[in-house]
Amino acid sequence: MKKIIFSILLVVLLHADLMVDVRPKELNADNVLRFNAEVGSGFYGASEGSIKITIDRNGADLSKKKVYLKMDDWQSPDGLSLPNGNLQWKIYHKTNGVAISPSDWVAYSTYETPAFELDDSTGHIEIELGTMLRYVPPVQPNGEYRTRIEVLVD
Amino acid sequence: MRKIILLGVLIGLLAANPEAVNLAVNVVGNTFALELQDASAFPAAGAFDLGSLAPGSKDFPVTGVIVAGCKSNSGRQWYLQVEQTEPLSDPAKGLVLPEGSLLVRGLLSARSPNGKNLPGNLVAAEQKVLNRPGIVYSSTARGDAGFNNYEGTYVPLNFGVKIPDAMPEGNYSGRVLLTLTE
Repeated sequence: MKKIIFSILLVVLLHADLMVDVRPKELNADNVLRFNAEVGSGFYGASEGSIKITIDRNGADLSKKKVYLKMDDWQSPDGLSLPNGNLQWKIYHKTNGVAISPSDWVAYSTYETPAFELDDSTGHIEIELGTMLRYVPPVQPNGEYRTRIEVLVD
Repeated sequence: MRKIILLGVLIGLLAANPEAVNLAVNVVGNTFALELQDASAFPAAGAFDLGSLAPGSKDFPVTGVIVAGCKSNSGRQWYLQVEQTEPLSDPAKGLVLPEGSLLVRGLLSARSPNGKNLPGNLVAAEQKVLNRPGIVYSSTARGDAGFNNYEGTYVPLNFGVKIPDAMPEGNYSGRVLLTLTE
């Protein structure tokens, strides 16, 4: 009986955990955000570059208000890279629940960086981030370059 | 009991934090271009003056410096070549300097000590500029990919001239062609 009560308590406590979901706005088979960029130019915020973040919080986790973003270094199969700092984000759309957020484009960092802040309200929060790849150098070899964007709420 | 534990695990999985999304950008487009600059990194005027020399002398003046901005994103090896398309001549006097009088060398400078800061092979030794292409710089096998933040390879070249002993006085001019090729 004690075990059952403990388990129920555990489940209740876990219920207090927040749920974060990050995915491309335009879902595809392998769930990878994909877009093209021209050398000497870049990519500016079309729909296929958008990321959808969903956050659900309740209970004790309402105190977790800061949303952090972090990107990995770029990689290509040939061991090449794109310049860091050229990949940027901007909030295109948000529901209630976001208290503080920048209005302009912000560069992704390879360090965990506070991006925006949530308020005290419970419920479902949705945020759509646009993507801009500011500049692809003219001598960048063709090919697919990959990175990973991590979202942390704390 | 099992159901409760399963529920707990399920909720635990749902609560994963941080979450991540993978991003892939497909870089497209071709670049294969040569831009000439003077020693001050301004666009080259299209002409340079090697100054005045006495017969039998040789000089590589600073006014003979050209920087070749080589830009290729093919990922393949490329070559910078130099050839003389018009001989150094004084048409008014009907005089022509012999082929091989015009010289070139990869520039040795503080910015480019022995050309070692370039990833490929710079020919630093002087060579004659002939009426057929001669290689002055070879990129790496991958076309210098990744060098200079992918902005291209800037190859400093110094042109000079060697005047034969018995060459009459005159105002000699000619034409040189720089080519980027794979």
